[in-house]
Amino acid sequence: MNKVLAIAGIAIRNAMRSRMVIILLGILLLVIVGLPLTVKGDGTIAGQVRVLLGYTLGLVGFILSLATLWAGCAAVSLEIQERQIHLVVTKPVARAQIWLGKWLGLLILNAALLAFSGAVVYGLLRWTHRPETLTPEQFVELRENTLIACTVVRPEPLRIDDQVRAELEAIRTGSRVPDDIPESEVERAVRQRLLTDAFSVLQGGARQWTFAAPAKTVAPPLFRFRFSSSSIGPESVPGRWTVQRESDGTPFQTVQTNTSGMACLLKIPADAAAGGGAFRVTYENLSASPIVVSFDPADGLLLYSPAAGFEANFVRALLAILCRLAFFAALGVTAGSLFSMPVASFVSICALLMIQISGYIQSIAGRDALLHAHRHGPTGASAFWDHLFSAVFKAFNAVVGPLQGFDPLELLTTGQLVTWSMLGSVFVVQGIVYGGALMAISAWVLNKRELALPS
Amino acid sequence: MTGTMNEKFPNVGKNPAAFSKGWKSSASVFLLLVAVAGFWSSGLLNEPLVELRRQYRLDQAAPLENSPPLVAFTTVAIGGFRGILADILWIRASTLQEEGKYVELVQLADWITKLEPRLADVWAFQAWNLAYNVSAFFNTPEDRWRWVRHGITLLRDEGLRYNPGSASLCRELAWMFQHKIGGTQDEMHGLYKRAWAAEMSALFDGPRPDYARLPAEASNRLTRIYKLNPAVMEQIDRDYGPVDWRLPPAHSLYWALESRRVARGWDLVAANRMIYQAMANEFREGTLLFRPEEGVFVTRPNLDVLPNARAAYETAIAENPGETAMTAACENFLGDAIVILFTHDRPEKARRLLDEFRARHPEEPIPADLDTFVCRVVTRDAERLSYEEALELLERAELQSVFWQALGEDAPARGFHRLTDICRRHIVVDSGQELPSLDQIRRTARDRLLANPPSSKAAERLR
Repeated sequence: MNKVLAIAGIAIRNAMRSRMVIILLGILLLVIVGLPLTVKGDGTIAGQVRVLLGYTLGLVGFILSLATLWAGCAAVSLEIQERQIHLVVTKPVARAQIWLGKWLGLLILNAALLAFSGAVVYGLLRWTHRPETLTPEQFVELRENTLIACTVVRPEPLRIDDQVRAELEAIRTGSRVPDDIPESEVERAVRQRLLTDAFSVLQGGARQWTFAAPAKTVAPPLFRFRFSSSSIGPESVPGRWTVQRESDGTPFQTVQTNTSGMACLLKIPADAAAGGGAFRVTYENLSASPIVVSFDPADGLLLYSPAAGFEANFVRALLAILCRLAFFAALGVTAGSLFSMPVASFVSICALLMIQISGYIQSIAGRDALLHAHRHGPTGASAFWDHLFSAVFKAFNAVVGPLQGFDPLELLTTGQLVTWSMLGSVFVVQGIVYGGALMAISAWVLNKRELALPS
Repeated sequence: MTGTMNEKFPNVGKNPAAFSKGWKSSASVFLLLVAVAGFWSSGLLNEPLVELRRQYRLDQAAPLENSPPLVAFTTVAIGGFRGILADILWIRASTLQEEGKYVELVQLADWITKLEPRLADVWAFQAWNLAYNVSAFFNTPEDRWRWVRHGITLLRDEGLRYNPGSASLCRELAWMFQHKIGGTQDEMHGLYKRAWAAEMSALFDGPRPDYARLPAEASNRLTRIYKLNPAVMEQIDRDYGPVDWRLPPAHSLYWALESRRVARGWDLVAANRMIYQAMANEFREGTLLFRPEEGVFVTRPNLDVLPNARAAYETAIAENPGETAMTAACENFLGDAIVILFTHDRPEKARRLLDEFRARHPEEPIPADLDTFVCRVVTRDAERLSYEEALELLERAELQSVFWQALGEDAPARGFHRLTDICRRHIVVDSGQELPSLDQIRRTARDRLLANPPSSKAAERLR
């Protein structure tokens, strides 16, 4: 361990000597102080805070990612090129320890820079939004709706398996589906339709959803919803919301007119949130015209239960960013071990881009046919190219998919809780699994490379 | 060879390293001087080239000058890549908008437009998107107005700053005042009008500034914040007005005239159209009846601008002889103008205009009698109206009369009452229907207004 720490110490000293740290600190300070002066929110206090936090920390993360990749590549490749590494490899140090030392050095530097940036951003946020600069309404909005950390609860899953089976049976009996349509596709379509039905409310109709009670709550929950309507364009639809706990709760009822496509918020009073058991939420469509209101089953109805303070959430979000930087450090050091500096930089940047577009890759890999979407599938040469591209995208997805993780800044700025389990999973996947694999590859290659041989 | 070299450069053989170093230094200094000279001469050439570009109108506007560092950096340093960056930001903006997340849209619109500051269409689209698409998702009037204002400020404060010669951006701005704020399509248009009037009322009392005695602070705010030149406003009041600067038609006219000042080709046609549309709106609803203590905020026709509105049409038609739509628009306007003059108790003026209208179209069967003409315009096919439709039409006309009476405005009260009277008689004759008496219709209209009066004082006046 001492050897690793010694190499890490040398890496940090080298970085300090090359003025990299000072320059980065300057750039970060410039970004943190300069960006809030130029960014514009939507005119609301919540918008201002979200844009400030999201853009400033996002740019800090981006700059640190690029710097980490560059520094990681340089840490080994330049030392090999300039033969400085001879001084280390001729000592009784394992190649894996060299890698680990370089990685640890970068990680410590990143942690320090991120802590500095986080502290400045938080200070700036508090200073620009101190109580005397806000109206009492803005202050309450900030405290109760914006700077919060909530557990997000989705409606309890609907038990529609029996209905799906019954419909499938009816379809089979009626021979209503052509033979060349796979049964899985029919089942998927039926399930989707039933699910959409369960989240749609006809004019004059009502639906109820159940939300499990959150394990920990520090304040009455908020209810966020967004619906689409059967009419074209934004439509204002009146509706009655009723929220009640399963036991001992005072029912809370309100009539609101909301616009389709718009994210809406419903504050649940403390007396309605008191009591025990799950939350039962009912919506009645009071529209005077025949409009169907549909909520997205994935994120159309969300119960936000405040579970922790904003500050703790902020720190966890920074730690999640640090985990990502740890992975980039591993990637940079590995690329530097494998290639010369220019090639290593190029490979690292490509890898960074691949990770950034991993969501797109995932969506492509999920398709049945890439070039030809005909239901009978491609034939001949088209089939060959289709299979080839499909395999390539699936392979890419297998590698970069797990790195997608979650976006800590999205959660932080929208008031969602960054949980320790999320953080743990990011640490395990990006730090341990991918980092460990990269270290193994790097150590193996460095062992194979002929370094410090007598010339 | 060596000997010759040594003769010419006696120090070479003695200290080759020093010679090489000296040679390199001299070459570096020489190249540096060449580079400086190159930069200096290119700087000298820049101004004539910019002048040529301006002269031949190779660009839509004058070159970008005194731009903020952020814009200068993005347009010069990123070079061709800024298009890609703008695309990425545009995709993000579209995705966020689809997901109902509007917090970042103002910032993204700002960056997208700054990445392509000379593309007027980009500014126009982003401003329209904020003012029309995004605003429509909000339910509260304050939220909606905020987004409409975001659209206006993006065009006016930023778009025109980087495209000072853009006729299309001036026209887009004129359109926002005419349609978004001045129109009635948006259900919250009344609030927009009030909010805009409140902003203008903070700068001057009454319908227009006292240009000779306009305080420096107000003049400065007009110029700096609203980008309105008081001298141009005064000129508009003289040539087209007097107009009420608290209302959207005046601002629509201002920006339409700005558009025409720099327009060429199709932009000129469009600017002319916008000018006569603004003038038509100025005539229809260019006067504000504003009694804050009573809570009354009502627009009514600005009858004084009729000659100027007509002149705007005539100018547009003369400048664009092939545009038949302009002639049709002018005819429609004249028809409306006759009715408005009639309903605002100016029968003589209405009659003179009708005579003129008939003289322009001797081949068409236009009624010579003013009452008959007005009835035809208002009721269209009177004989085809059902009983309910006829009654609704009459009650609405009478409601207008009662409304103006409640506000103490006698001229329109008389005019609309007369309109109800002649239309009732006309429908009875044409369709042979038995309709309630005029008194009965008036009582119903009065009851309807008293159920929802414009103000408590207005209700008192009616009682």
